[in-house]
Amino acid sequence: MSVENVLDTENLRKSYAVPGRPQFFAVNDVSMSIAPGEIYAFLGPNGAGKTTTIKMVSGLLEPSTGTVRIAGLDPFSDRRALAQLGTVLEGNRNLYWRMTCHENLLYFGVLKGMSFADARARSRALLERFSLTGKRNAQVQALSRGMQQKLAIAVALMHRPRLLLLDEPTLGLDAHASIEVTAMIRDLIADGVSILLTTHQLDVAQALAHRVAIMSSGRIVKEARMADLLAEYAKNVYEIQLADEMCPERVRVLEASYTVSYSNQCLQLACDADGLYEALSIIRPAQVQSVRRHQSDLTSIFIALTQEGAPANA
Amino acid sequence: MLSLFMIEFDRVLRLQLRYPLEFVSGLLILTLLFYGLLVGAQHMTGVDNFGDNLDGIIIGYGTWIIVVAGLSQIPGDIAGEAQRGTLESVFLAKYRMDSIFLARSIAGSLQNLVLTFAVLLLLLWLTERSVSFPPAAMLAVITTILASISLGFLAGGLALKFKQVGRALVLVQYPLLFLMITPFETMQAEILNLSLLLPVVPSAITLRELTVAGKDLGDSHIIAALLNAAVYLGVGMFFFNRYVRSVKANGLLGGH
Ligand SMILES: Nc1ncnc2c1ncn2[C@@H]1O[C@H](COP(=O)(O)OP(=O)(O)OP(=O)(O)O)[C@@H](O)[C@H]1O
Ligand SMILES: [Mg+2]
Repeated sequence: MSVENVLDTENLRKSYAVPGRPQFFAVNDVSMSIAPGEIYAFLGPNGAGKTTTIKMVSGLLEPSTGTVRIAGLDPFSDRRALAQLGTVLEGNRNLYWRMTCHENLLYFGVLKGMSFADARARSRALLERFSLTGKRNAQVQALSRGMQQKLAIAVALMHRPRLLLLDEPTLGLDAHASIEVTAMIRDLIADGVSILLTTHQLDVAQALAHRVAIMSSGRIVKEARMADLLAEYAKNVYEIQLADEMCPERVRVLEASYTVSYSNQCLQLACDADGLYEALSIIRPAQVQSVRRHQSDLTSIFIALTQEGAPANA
Repeated sequence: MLSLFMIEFDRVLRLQLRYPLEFVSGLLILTLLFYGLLVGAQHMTGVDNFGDNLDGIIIGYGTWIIVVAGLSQIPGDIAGEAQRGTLESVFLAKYRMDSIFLARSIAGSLQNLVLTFAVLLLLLWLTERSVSFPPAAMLAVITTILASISLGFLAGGLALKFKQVGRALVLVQYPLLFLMITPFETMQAEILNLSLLLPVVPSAITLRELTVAGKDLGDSHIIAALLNAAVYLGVGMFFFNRYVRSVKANGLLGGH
Protein backbone atom coordinates (compact mmCIF):
# COMPACT_ATOMS: atom_id res chain seq x y z
CA MET A 1 0.00 0.00 0.00
CA SER A 2 1.61 3.21 -1.11
CA VAL A 3 0.97 6.59 0.48
CA GLU A 4 1.35 8.25 -2.88
CA ASN A 5 -1.82 6.66 -4.13
CA VAL A 6 -5.01 8.63 -3.86
CA LEU A 7 -6.97 5.46 -3.23
CA ASP A 8 -6.02 2.04 -1.96
CA THR A 9 -8.44 -0.74 -1.18
CA GLU A 10 -7.32 -4.07 0.17
CA ASN A 11 -9.37 -7.26 0.16
CA LEU A 12 -12.57 -5.29 0.32
CA ARG A 13 -15.65 -7.40 1.00
CA LYS A 14 -19.27 -6.66 1.69
CA SER A 15 -21.88 -9.20 2.59
CA TYR A 16 -25.47 -8.23 3.10
CA ALA A 17 -27.51 -10.12 5.61
CA VAL A 18 -30.57 -11.13 3.62
CA PRO A 19 -32.98 -13.26 5.65
CA GLY A 20 -33.50 -16.72 4.20
CA ARG A 21 -30.51 -16.57 1.90
CA PRO A 22 -27.04 -17.98 2.41
CA GLN A 23 -24.26 -15.48 3.05
CA PHE A 24 -23.67 -13.61 -0.13
CA PHE A 25 -20.86 -11.25 -1.00
CA ALA A 26 -21.93 -8.29 -3.10
CA VAL A 27 -18.26 -7.36 -3.23
CA ASN A 28 -15.66 -10.04 -2.79
CA ASP A 29 -11.97 -9.46 -2.23
CA VAL A 30 -11.50 -6.28 -4.20
CA SER A 31 -8.01 -4.79 -4.03
CA MET A 32 -7.14 -1.85 -6.22
CA SER A 33 -5.39 1.48 -6.18
CA ILE A 34 -5.55 4.74 -8.07
CA ALA A 35 -2.62 7.07 -8.66
CA PRO A 36 -2.90 10.87 -8.79
CA GLY A 37 -4.37 12.06 -12.07
CA GLU A 38 -5.58 8.63 -13.07
CA ILE A 39 -9.03 7.69 -14.36
CA TYR A 40 -10.05 4.21 -13.33
CA ALA A 41 -13.24 2.61 -14.64
CA PHE A 42 -15.32 -0.20 -13.20
CA LEU A 43 -17.20 -2.18 -15.79
CA GLY A 44 -19.52 -5.06 -15.15
CA PRO A 45 -23.03 -6.38 -15.58
CA ASN A 46 -25.93 -5.34 -13.33
CA GLY A 47 -25.41 -6.49 -9.78
CA ALA A 48 -21.66 -6.97 -10.21
CA GLY A 49 -20.95 -4.90 -7.10
CA LYS A 50 -19.76 -1.64 -8.68
CA THR A 51 -22.05 0.66 -6.72
CA THR A 52 -21.38 -1.25 -3.51
CA THR A 53 -17.65 -0.73 -4.00
CA ILE A 54 -18.14 2.99 -4.69
CA LYS A 55 -20.23 3.34 -1.54
CA MET A 56 -17.58 1.64 0.56
CA VAL A 57 -14.93 3.96 -0.83
CA SER A 58 -17.11 7.01 -0.18
CA GLY A 59 -17.69 6.10 3.46
CA LEU A 60 -21.43 5.50 3.03
CA LEU A 61 -21.15 1.78 3.60
CA GLU A 62 -18.93 0.00 6.08
CA PRO A 63 -16.89 -2.85 4.56
CA SER A 64 -17.48 -6.27 6.10
CA THR A 65 -13.75 -6.86 5.93
CA GLY A 66 -10.83 -5.18 4.23
CA THR A 67 -9.64 -1.61 4.20
CA VAL A 68 -10.16 1.60 2.27
CA ARG A 69 -7.59 4.38 2.38
CA ILE A 70 -8.10 7.78 0.80
CA ALA A 71 -4.65 9.38 0.58
CA GLY A 72 -3.75 7.15 3.49
CA LEU A 73 -6.84 8.01 5.59
CA ASP A 74 -9.74 5.75 6.54
CA PRO A 75 -13.06 7.32 5.43
CA PHE A 76 -14.84 5.65 8.35
CA SER A 77 -12.76 6.83 11.24
CA ASP A 78 -11.23 10.00 9.84
CA ARG A 79 -13.42 12.83 8.62
CA ARG A 80 -10.45 14.42 6.88
CA ALA A 81 -10.69 11.59 4.36
CA LEU A 82 -14.19 12.78 3.42
CA ALA A 83 -12.81 16.22 2.62
CA GLN A 84 -10.60 14.60 -0.04
CA LEU A 85 -13.58 12.95 -1.70
CA GLY A 86 -16.19 14.18 -4.12
CA THR A 87 -18.99 11.77 -4.93
CA VAL A 88 -21.70 11.73 -7.56
CA LEU A 89 -24.09 8.87 -6.94
CA GLU A 90 -26.13 7.07 -9.54
CA GLY A 91 -29.03 8.90 -11.14
CA ASN A 92 -30.49 12.31 -10.41
CA ARG A 93 -30.55 12.16 -6.64
CA ASN A 94 -27.54 14.27 -5.80
CA LEU A 95 -29.26 17.65 -5.75
CA TYR A 96 -32.11 19.49 -4.05
CA TRP A 97 -34.73 20.05 -6.71
CA ARG A 98 -36.42 23.03 -5.14
CA MET A 99 -33.11 24.86 -4.74
CA THR A 100 -31.22 26.75 -7.43
CA CYS A 101 -27.87 25.77 -8.94
CA HIS A 102 -26.03 28.31 -6.83
CA GLU A 103 -27.84 27.28 -3.66
CA ASN A 104 -26.97 23.63 -4.21
CA LEU A 105 -23.32 24.46 -4.80
CA LEU A 106 -23.22 26.66 -1.73
CA TYR A 107 -25.04 24.19 0.49
CA PHE A 108 -23.01 21.12 -0.33
CA GLY A 109 -19.78 23.13 -0.35
CA VAL A 110 -20.39 24.27 3.22
CA LEU A 111 -21.41 20.72 4.17
CA LYS A 112 -17.95 19.68 2.98
CA GLY A 113 -16.40 22.15 5.38
CA MET A 114 -15.97 25.27 3.20
CA SER A 115 -16.49 28.77 4.52
CA PHE A 116 -19.32 30.84 3.05
CA ALA A 117 -17.03 33.24 1.24
CA ASP A 118 -14.91 30.49 -0.25
CA ALA A 119 -18.00 28.55 -1.31
CA ARG A 120 -19.53 31.61 -2.98
CA ALA A 121 -16.42 32.34 -5.02
CA ARG A 122 -15.98 28.68 -5.96
CA SER A 123 -19.63 28.43 -7.01
CA ARG A 124 -19.17 31.34 -9.39
CA ALA A 125 -16.02 29.83 -10.86
CA LEU A 126 -17.54 26.38 -11.38
CA LEU A 127 -20.76 27.72 -12.92
CA GLU A 128 -18.58 29.65 -15.31
CA ARG A 129 -16.39 26.70 -16.10
CA PHE A 130 -19.27 24.35 -16.87
CA SER A 131 -21.25 26.96 -18.83
CA LEU A 132 -24.02 27.08 -16.26
CA THR A 133 -23.70 30.74 -15.34
CA GLY A 134 -26.98 31.52 -17.11
CA LYS A 135 -28.70 28.93 -14.91
CA ARG A 136 -27.26 30.20 -11.63
CA ASN A 137 -30.64 31.11 -10.21
CA ALA A 138 -32.68 28.41 -11.92
CA GLN A 139 -34.16 25.67 -9.77
CA VAL A 140 -32.71 22.23 -10.41
CA GLN A 141 -36.10 20.85 -11.38
CA ALA A 142 -36.12 23.24 -14.34
CA LEU A 143 -32.81 21.96 -15.74
CA SER A 144 -32.34 19.32 -18.40
CA ARG A 145 -30.98 15.98 -17.24
CA GLY A 146 -27.62 16.78 -18.84
CA MET A 147 -27.35 20.09 -17.00
CA GLN A 148 -28.34 18.40 -13.76
CA GLN A 149 -25.53 15.93 -14.19
CA LYS A 150 -23.03 18.68 -14.94
CA LEU A 151 -24.21 20.50 -11.83
CA ALA A 152 -23.95 17.32 -9.75
CA ILE A 153 -20.34 16.96 -10.84
CA ALA A 154 -19.70 20.63 -10.09
CA VAL A 155 -21.19 20.15 -6.61
CA ALA A 156 -18.84 17.22 -6.02
CA LEU A 157 -15.90 19.39 -7.08
CA MET A 158 -16.75 22.34 -4.82
CA HIS A 159 -14.27 21.58 -2.06
CA ARG A 160 -11.47 20.66 -4.50
CA PRO A 161 -11.36 16.92 -3.73
CA ARG A 162 -8.42 14.81 -4.80
CA LEU A 163 -10.58 11.84 -5.70
CA LEU A 164 -13.84 12.02 -7.58
CA LEU A 165 -16.22 9.04 -7.47
CA LEU A 166 -18.70 8.91 -10.34
CA ASP A 167 -21.33 6.17 -10.39
CA GLU A 168 -22.72 5.89 -13.92
CA PRO A 169 -22.04 9.52 -14.86
CA THR A 170 -23.68 9.26 -18.29
CA LEU A 171 -26.69 7.19 -17.31
CA GLY A 172 -29.89 8.51 -18.83
CA LEU A 173 -28.20 11.22 -20.89
CA ASP A 174 -28.82 11.63 -24.59
CA ALA A 175 -25.89 11.21 -26.99
CA HIS A 176 -25.11 14.91 -27.05
CA ALA A 177 -25.16 15.37 -23.28
CA SER A 178 -23.21 12.16 -22.82
CA ILE A 179 -20.41 13.43 -25.05
CA GLU A 180 -20.41 16.76 -23.25
CA VAL A 181 -20.21 15.19 -19.81
CA THR A 182 -17.52 12.77 -20.99
CA ALA A 183 -15.41 15.64 -22.30
CA MET A 184 -15.98 17.53 -19.08
CA ILE A 185 -14.74 14.57 -17.02
CA ARG A 186 -11.64 14.21 -19.19
CA ASP A 187 -10.79 17.88 -18.70
CA LEU A 188 -10.73 17.41 -14.94
CA ILE A 189 -7.47 15.51 -15.22
CA ALA A 190 -5.73 18.82 -15.91
CA ASP A 191 -6.61 19.81 -12.33
CA GLY A 192 -4.86 16.75 -10.99
CA VAL A 193 -8.06 15.07 -9.81
CA SER A 194 -8.16 11.27 -9.82
CA ILE A 195 -11.39 9.64 -10.87
CA LEU A 196 -13.04 6.34 -10.08
CA LEU A 197 -16.06 5.78 -12.28
CA THR A 198 -18.48 3.01 -13.08
CA THR A 199 -20.26 2.74 -16.38
CA HIS A 200 -22.26 0.46 -18.62
CA GLN A 201 -21.30 2.51 -21.62
CA LEU A 202 -18.15 0.93 -22.90
CA ASP A 203 -17.43 3.78 -25.28
CA VAL A 204 -17.40 6.10 -22.30
CA ALA A 205 -14.88 3.89 -20.51
CA GLN A 206 -12.81 3.58 -23.64
CA ALA A 207 -12.80 7.33 -24.15
CA LEU A 208 -11.90 8.16 -20.56
CA ALA A 209 -10.19 5.47 -18.57
CA HIS A 210 -6.49 4.91 -18.20
CA ARG A 211 -7.22 1.65 -16.45
CA VAL A 212 -10.25 -0.59 -16.31
CA ALA A 213 -11.41 -3.30 -13.97
CA ILE A 214 -14.08 -5.68 -15.14
CA MET A 215 -16.24 -6.86 -12.26
CA SER A 216 -18.46 -9.87 -12.20
CA SER A 217 -20.26 -11.35 -9.19
CA GLY A 218 -18.43 -9.11 -6.75
CA ARG A 219 -14.93 -9.88 -8.00
CA ILE A 220 -12.53 -8.10 -10.30
CA VAL A 221 -12.12 -10.66 -13.08
CA LYS A 222 -9.75 -8.52 -15.10
CA GLU A 223 -7.79 -5.39 -14.40
CA ALA A 224 -5.53 -3.79 -16.99
CA ARG A 225 -4.38 -0.58 -18.53
CA MET A 226 -6.89 0.32 -21.20
CA ALA A 227 -4.26 0.33 -23.93
CA ASP A 228 -2.86 -3.06 -22.85
CA LEU A 229 -6.29 -4.59 -22.66
CA LEU A 230 -7.18 -3.49 -26.15
CA ALA A 231 -3.80 -4.63 -27.47
CA GLU A 232 -3.96 -7.99 -25.74
CA TYR A 233 -7.28 -8.87 -27.22
CA ALA A 234 -6.54 -7.34 -30.57
CA LYS A 235 -3.16 -8.91 -31.17
CA ASN A 236 -4.07 -12.22 -32.72
CA VAL A 237 -7.10 -11.67 -34.87
CA TYR A 238 -6.52 -11.08 -38.58
CA GLU A 239 -9.08 -10.37 -41.19
CA ILE A 240 -8.05 -11.56 -44.69
CA GLN A 241 -10.14 -10.29 -47.55
CA LEU A 242 -9.89 -12.37 -50.75
CA ALA A 243 -10.66 -11.36 -54.32
CA ASP A 244 -12.64 -14.52 -55.05
CA GLU A 245 -14.06 -17.57 -53.32
CA MET A 246 -11.68 -19.98 -51.70
CA CYS A 247 -12.06 -23.66 -52.43
CA PRO A 248 -13.73 -25.55 -49.57
CA GLU A 249 -10.87 -28.04 -49.17
CA ARG A 250 -8.42 -25.35 -48.30
CA VAL A 251 -10.85 -23.89 -45.84
CA ARG A 252 -10.99 -27.34 -44.23
CA VAL A 253 -7.19 -27.46 -44.05
CA LEU A 254 -7.18 -24.11 -42.32
CA GLU A 255 -9.86 -25.21 -39.93
CA ALA A 256 -7.75 -28.18 -38.91
CA SER A 257 -5.04 -26.00 -37.38
CA TYR A 258 -6.62 -22.59 -36.76
CA THR A 259 -9.59 -20.96 -35.12
CA VAL A 260 -11.08 -19.60 -38.27
CA SER A 261 -14.32 -18.45 -39.80
CA TYR A 262 -14.97 -17.91 -43.47
CA SER A 263 -17.77 -16.12 -45.25
CA ASN A 264 -18.18 -13.72 -48.16
CA GLN A 265 -14.58 -14.19 -49.30
CA CYS A 266 -13.41 -13.04 -45.94
CA LEU A 267 -11.37 -15.03 -43.44
CA GLN A 268 -11.24 -14.31 -39.71
CA LEU A 269 -8.16 -15.93 -38.33
CA ALA A 270 -6.90 -16.19 -34.77
CA CYS A 271 -3.14 -16.79 -34.79
CA ASP A 272 0.24 -15.16 -34.15
CA ALA A 273 2.44 -13.52 -36.80
CA ASP A 274 4.19 -16.78 -37.85
CA GLY A 275 0.84 -18.48 -38.11
CA LEU A 276 -0.28 -15.73 -40.46
CA TYR A 277 2.50 -16.56 -42.95
CA GLU A 278 1.66 -20.24 -42.78
CA ALA A 279 -1.99 -19.51 -43.30
CA LEU A 280 -1.19 -17.32 -46.30
CA SER A 281 0.83 -20.19 -47.83
CA ILE A 282 -2.22 -22.45 -47.49
CA ILE A 283 -4.40 -19.80 -49.08
CA ARG A 284 -1.75 -19.21 -51.70
CA PRO A 285 -3.26 -19.38 -55.15
CA ALA A 286 -6.23 -17.33 -54.06
CA GLN A 287 -5.81 -13.62 -54.55
CA VAL A 288 -5.48 -11.64 -51.33
CA GLN A 289 -7.02 -8.22 -51.43
CA SER A 290 -6.20 -7.03 -47.91
CA VAL A 291 -4.89 -8.23 -44.57
CA ARG A 292 -5.97 -6.30 -41.51
CA ARG A 293 -5.33 -6.76 -37.85
CA HIS A 294 -8.52 -6.43 -35.86
CA GLN A 295 -8.98 -3.37 -33.74
CA SER A 296 -11.02 -5.08 -31.06
CA ASP A 297 -13.11 -2.77 -28.94
CA LEU A 298 -14.02 -2.93 -25.33
CA THR A 299 -17.47 -4.28 -26.12
CA SER A 300 -16.22 -7.60 -27.42
CA ILE A 301 -13.66 -7.97 -24.63
CA PHE A 302 -16.29 -7.18 -22.08
CA ILE A 303 -18.72 -9.73 -23.43
CA ALA A 304 -16.02 -12.39 -23.60
CA LEU A 305 -14.86 -11.76 -20.04
CA THR A 306 -18.21 -11.51 -18.37
CA GLN A 307 -19.63 -14.54 -20.16
CA GLU A 308 -16.96 -16.93 -19.02
CA GLY A 309 -17.38 -15.87 -15.38
CA ALA A 310 -20.19 -17.07 -13.16
CA PRO A 311 -23.59 -15.57 -13.89
CA ALA A 312 -24.31 -12.35 -12.03
CA ASN A 313 -26.29 -12.45 -8.83
CA ALA A 314 -29.79 -11.18 -9.27
CA MET B 1 -20.09 24.57 13.12
CA LEU B 2 -21.26 28.17 12.76
CA SER B 3 -21.10 27.87 8.97
CA LEU B 4 -23.17 24.71 9.20
CA PHE B 5 -25.87 26.41 11.24
CA MET B 6 -25.80 29.47 8.98
CA ILE B 7 -26.20 27.46 5.80
CA GLU B 8 -29.13 25.51 7.25
CA PHE B 9 -30.77 28.74 8.38
CA ASP B 10 -30.07 30.30 4.99
CA ARG B 11 -31.71 27.33 3.28
CA VAL B 12 -34.80 27.43 5.50
CA LEU B 13 -35.17 31.16 4.91
CA ARG B 14 -34.81 30.94 1.14
CA LEU B 15 -37.33 28.11 0.83
CA GLN B 16 -39.72 29.94 3.14
CA LEU B 17 -39.56 33.05 0.98
CA ARG B 18 -39.86 30.96 -2.18
CA TYR B 19 -42.97 29.18 -0.94
CA PRO B 20 -44.78 31.77 1.20
CA LEU B 21 -48.11 29.99 0.78
CA GLU B 22 -46.90 27.22 3.06
CA PHE B 23 -46.78 29.75 5.89
CA VAL B 24 -50.27 31.03 5.21
CA SER B 25 -51.76 27.56 4.95
CA GLY B 26 -49.95 26.52 8.14
CA LEU B 27 -51.45 29.51 9.94
CA LEU B 28 -54.95 28.70 8.72
CA ILE B 29 -54.79 24.99 9.46
CA LEU B 30 -53.40 25.44 12.96
CA THR B 31 -55.99 28.08 13.85
CA LEU B 32 -58.88 25.99 12.54
CA LEU B 33 -57.50 22.90 14.29
CA PHE B 34 -57.55 24.78 17.58
CA TYR B 35 -61.19 25.69 17.15
CA GLY B 36 -61.99 22.14 16.12
CA LEU B 37 -60.34 20.81 19.28
CA LEU B 38 -62.02 23.44 21.43
CA VAL B 39 -65.51 22.70 20.11
CA GLY B 40 -64.85 18.99 20.49
CA ALA B 41 -63.69 19.45 24.07
CA GLN B 42 -66.71 21.62 24.92
CA HIS B 43 -68.98 19.00 23.47
CA MET B 44 -67.36 16.17 25.41
CA THR B 45 -67.00 17.93 28.76
CA GLY B 46 -70.21 19.86 28.59
CA VAL B 47 -68.33 22.94 29.75
CA ASP B 48 -69.30 25.93 27.68
CA ASN B 49 -66.80 28.35 28.94
CA PHE B 50 -63.25 27.41 29.87
CA GLY B 51 -62.82 30.78 31.47
CA ASP B 52 -59.29 31.46 32.65
CA ASN B 53 -58.33 27.94 31.71
CA LEU B 54 -58.54 29.01 28.11
CA ASP B 55 -55.34 31.04 28.43
CA GLY B 56 -53.55 27.94 29.66
CA ILE B 57 -55.03 25.88 26.87
CA ILE B 58 -53.93 28.39 24.24
CA ILE B 59 -50.38 28.46 25.61
CA GLY B 60 -50.39 24.67 25.87
CA TYR B 61 -51.50 24.51 22.27
CA GLY B 62 -48.65 26.81 21.22
CA THR B 63 -46.22 24.63 23.16
CA TRP B 64 -47.63 21.64 21.35
CA ILE B 65 -47.06 23.25 17.93
CA ILE B 66 -43.42 23.80 18.87
CA VAL B 67 -43.09 20.24 20.13
CA VAL B 68 -44.68 18.65 17.08
CA ALA B 69 -42.43 20.69 14.79
CA GLY B 70 -39.31 19.68 16.72
CA LEU B 71 -40.44 16.08 16.85
CA SER B 72 -41.22 15.71 13.16
CA GLN B 73 -38.36 17.74 11.67
CA ILE B 74 -35.67 15.04 11.68
CA PRO B 75 -37.81 12.01 10.78
CA GLY B 76 -39.63 14.08 8.14
CA ASP B 77 -36.33 15.20 6.68
CA ILE B 78 -34.92 11.70 6.67
CA ALA B 79 -37.98 10.04 5.18
CA GLY B 80 -38.32 12.74 2.51
CA GLU B 81 -34.66 12.73 1.58
CA ALA B 82 -34.48 8.95 1.56
CA GLN B 83 -37.39 8.95 -0.86
CA ARG B 84 -35.94 11.65 -3.12
CA GLY B 85 -32.50 10.09 -2.79
CA THR B 86 -30.61 13.06 -1.39
CA LEU B 87 -30.06 11.44 2.01
CA GLU B 88 -26.86 9.76 0.90
CA SER B 89 -25.49 13.10 -0.34
CA VAL B 90 -26.03 14.49 3.15
CA PHE B 91 -24.18 11.52 4.63
CA LEU B 92 -21.17 12.44 2.47
CA ALA B 93 -20.71 15.67 4.44
CA LYS B 94 -17.65 16.44 6.48
CA TYR B 95 -19.79 17.04 9.57
CA ARG B 96 -21.25 14.39 11.83
CA MET B 97 -24.85 13.48 11.13
CA ASP B 98 -26.01 14.52 14.61
CA SER B 99 -24.48 17.99 14.12
CA ILE B 100 -26.16 18.42 10.75
CA PHE B 101 -29.55 17.36 12.00
CA LEU B 102 -29.22 19.45 15.16
CA ALA B 103 -28.44 22.49 13.00
CA ARG B 104 -31.38 21.69 10.75
CA SER B 105 -33.72 21.24 13.70
CA ILE B 106 -32.71 24.51 15.28
CA ALA B 107 -33.11 26.35 11.98
CA GLY B 108 -36.47 24.66 11.36
CA SER B 109 -37.64 25.36 14.89
CA LEU B 110 -36.79 29.05 14.61
CA GLN B 111 -38.80 29.20 11.40
CA ASN B 112 -41.65 27.39 13.09
CA LEU B 113 -41.46 29.75 16.07
CA VAL B 114 -42.52 32.65 13.85
CA LEU B 115 -45.52 30.62 12.75
CA THR B 116 -46.31 29.62 16.34
CA PHE B 117 -46.27 33.21 17.55
CA ALA B 118 -48.50 34.20 14.65
CA VAL B 119 -51.00 31.47 15.53
CA LEU B 120 -50.95 32.42 19.20
CA LEU B 121 -51.50 36.11 18.48
CA LEU B 122 -54.34 35.25 16.16
CA LEU B 123 -55.95 32.94 18.71
CA LEU B 124 -55.60 35.46 21.55
CA TRP B 125 -57.10 38.13 19.36
CA LEU B 126 -59.98 35.91 18.23
CA THR B 127 -60.77 34.76 21.78
CA GLU B 128 -60.18 38.25 23.16
CA ARG B 129 -57.79 37.01 25.81
CA SER B 130 -54.38 38.18 26.78
CA VAL B 131 -51.30 36.71 28.38
CA SER B 132 -48.05 38.21 29.53
CA PHE B 133 -44.74 37.34 27.98
CA PRO B 134 -41.83 38.17 30.28
CA PRO B 135 -38.28 37.78 28.91
CA ALA B 136 -37.79 34.67 31.06
CA ALA B 137 -40.50 32.98 29.00
CA MET B 138 -38.16 33.09 26.04
CA LEU B 139 -35.77 30.83 27.98
CA ALA B 140 -38.59 28.36 28.51
CA VAL B 141 -39.35 28.51 24.79
CA ILE B 142 -35.73 27.60 24.11
CA THR B 143 -35.79 24.62 26.48
CA THR B 144 -39.08 23.55 24.90
CA ILE B 145 -37.42 23.60 21.49
CA LEU B 146 -34.38 21.66 22.67
CA ALA B 147 -36.49 19.05 24.43
CA SER B 148 -38.67 18.60 21.37
CA ILE B 149 -35.59 18.21 19.15
CA SER B 150 -34.50 15.37 21.43
CA LEU B 151 -37.75 13.60 20.54
CA GLY B 152 -36.94 14.37 16.91
CA PHE B 153 -33.63 12.54 17.24
CA LEU B 154 -35.36 9.47 18.66
CA ALA B 155 -37.94 9.51 15.90
CA GLY B 156 -35.21 10.23 13.34
CA GLY B 157 -33.28 7.16 14.42
CA LEU B 158 -36.40 5.09 13.96
CA ALA B 159 -36.95 6.71 10.56
CA LEU B 160 -33.46 5.63 9.50
CA LYS B 161 -34.31 2.09 10.49
CA PHE B 162 -37.91 1.75 9.40
CA LYS B 163 -38.24 4.47 6.73
CA GLN B 164 -42.00 4.88 7.24
CA VAL B 165 -42.69 6.56 10.55
CA GLY B 166 -45.21 9.19 9.42
CA ARG B 167 -48.25 7.35 10.71
CA ALA B 168 -46.67 6.53 14.06
CA LEU B 169 -45.76 10.21 14.44
CA VAL B 170 -49.35 11.29 13.88
CA LEU B 171 -50.40 8.89 16.63
CA VAL B 172 -47.98 10.25 19.25
CA GLN B 173 -49.08 13.83 18.56
CA TYR B 174 -52.27 13.37 20.57
CA PRO B 175 -50.73 12.06 23.78
CA LEU B 176 -48.25 14.91 23.42
CA LEU B 177 -51.08 17.45 23.11
CA PHE B 178 -52.57 15.98 26.25
CA LEU B 179 -49.23 16.30 28.06
CA MET B 180 -48.80 19.89 26.91
CA ILE B 181 -52.18 21.16 28.09
CA THR B 182 -52.44 19.15 31.32
CA PRO B 183 -51.95 21.60 34.21
CA PHE B 184 -49.60 19.44 36.30
CA GLU B 185 -48.69 22.51 38.33
CA THR B 186 -52.13 22.43 39.98
CA MET B 187 -51.83 18.77 40.99
CA GLN B 188 -50.41 17.03 44.04
CA ALA B 189 -46.71 17.39 44.66
CA GLU B 190 -45.98 13.71 43.91
CA ILE B 191 -47.64 13.84 40.52
CA LEU B 192 -46.04 17.18 39.73
CA ASN B 193 -42.59 15.83 40.61
CA LEU B 194 -43.09 12.70 38.51
CA SER B 195 -44.33 14.77 35.60
CA LEU B 196 -40.99 16.56 35.55
CA LEU B 197 -39.46 13.35 34.21
CA LEU B 198 -41.73 13.40 31.17
CA PRO B 199 -40.35 14.88 27.95
CA VAL B 200 -40.88 18.65 27.55
CA VAL B 201 -43.33 18.82 30.49
CA PRO B 202 -41.12 20.97 32.79
CA SER B 203 -40.74 23.48 29.95
CA ALA B 204 -44.49 23.49 29.31
CA ILE B 205 -45.23 24.06 33.00
CA THR B 206 -42.72 26.90 33.18
CA LEU B 207 -44.20 28.54 30.11
CA ARG B 208 -47.71 28.42 31.50
CA GLU B 209 -46.70 29.70 34.92
CA LEU B 210 -44.84 32.61 33.38
CA THR B 211 -47.33 33.66 30.73
CA VAL B 212 -50.75 32.69 32.06
CA ALA B 213 -50.35 32.95 35.80
CA GLY B 214 -47.85 35.77 35.35
CA LYS B 215 -45.89 34.30 38.27
CA ASP B 216 -42.44 35.49 39.12
CA LEU B 217 -40.69 32.12 39.22
CA GLY B 218 -37.36 31.34 40.82
CA ASP B 219 -34.55 29.68 38.94
CA SER B 220 -35.60 26.16 39.93
CA HIS B 221 -38.28 25.93 37.21
CA ILE B 222 -36.02 26.88 34.35
CA ILE B 223 -33.20 24.69 35.70
CA ALA B 224 -35.54 21.70 35.81
CA ALA B 225 -36.64 22.49 32.26
CA LEU B 226 -33.05 22.81 31.10
CA LEU B 227 -31.95 19.59 32.80
CA ASN B 228 -34.90 17.72 31.33
CA ALA B 229 -34.09 19.03 27.83
CA ALA B 230 -30.38 18.24 28.16
CA VAL B 231 -30.93 14.68 29.37
CA TYR B 232 -33.47 13.90 26.67
CA LEU B 233 -31.25 15.49 24.02
CA GLY B 234 -28.32 13.33 25.13
CA VAL B 235 -30.42 10.18 25.02
CA GLY B 236 -31.99 11.12 21.68
CA MET B 237 -28.64 11.81 20.02
CA PHE B 238 -27.15 8.62 21.44
CA PHE B 239 -29.89 6.52 19.84
CA PHE B 240 -29.73 8.48 16.63
CA ASN B 241 -25.99 7.86 16.31
CA ARG B 242 -26.50 4.16 16.90
CA TYR B 243 -28.94 4.01 14.01
CA VAL B 244 -26.60 6.02 11.80
CA ARG B 245 -23.91 3.41 12.41
CA SER B 246 -26.24 0.51 11.80
CA VAL B 247 -27.39 2.07 8.55
CA LYS B 248 -23.79 2.35 7.38
CA ALA B 249 -23.17 -1.26 8.28
CA ASN B 250 -26.32 -2.71 6.74
CA GLY B 251 -26.60 -0.50 3.72
CA LEU B 252 -30.17 0.60 4.28
CA LEU B 253 -29.38 4.08 3.03
CA GLY B 254 -31.19 4.98 -0.13
CA GLY B 255 -33.79 2.34 0.51
CA HIS B 256 -33.21 -1.23 -0.58
N1 LIG C 1 -28.68 -2.93 0.88
C1 LIG C 1 -28.60 -4.11 0.23
N2 LIG C 1 -29.09 -5.23 0.79
C2 LIG C 1 -29.00 -6.42 0.17
N3 LIG C 1 -28.44 -6.60 -1.04
C3 LIG C 1 -27.92 -5.54 -1.67
C4 LIG C 1 -27.97 -4.22 -1.07
N4 LIG C 1 -27.38 -3.36 -1.93
C5 LIG C 1 -26.98 -4.08 -3.00
N5 LIG C 1 -27.30 -5.39 -2.84
C6 LIG C 1 -26.97 -6.47 -3.78
O1 LIG C 1 -25.59 -6.45 -4.01
C7 LIG C 1 -25.29 -6.80 -5.35
C8 LIG C 1 -24.40 -5.76 -5.98
O2 LIG C 1 -25.14 -4.57 -6.15
P1 LIG C 1 -24.54 -3.24 -6.77
O3 LIG C 1 -25.60 -2.20 -6.68
O4 LIG C 1 -23.23 -2.97 -6.16
O5 LIG C 1 -24.33 -3.67 -8.29
P2 LIG C 1 -23.87 -2.76 -9.52
O6 LIG C 1 -22.65 -3.40 -10.07
O7 LIG C 1 -23.78 -1.35 -9.12
O8 LIG C 1 -25.08 -2.98 -10.51
P3 LIG C 1 -25.76 -1.95 -11.54
O9 LIG C 1 -24.97 -2.04 -12.78
O10 LIG C 1 -27.12 -2.50 -11.72
O11 LIG C 1 -25.76 -0.59 -10.92
C9 LIG C 1 -26.62 -6.96 -6.04
O12 LIG C 1 -26.88 -8.35 -6.12
C10 LIG C 1 -27.59 -6.26 -5.14
O13 LIG C 1 -28.86 -6.85 -5.23
MG1 LIG D 1 -24.77 0.40 -9.69
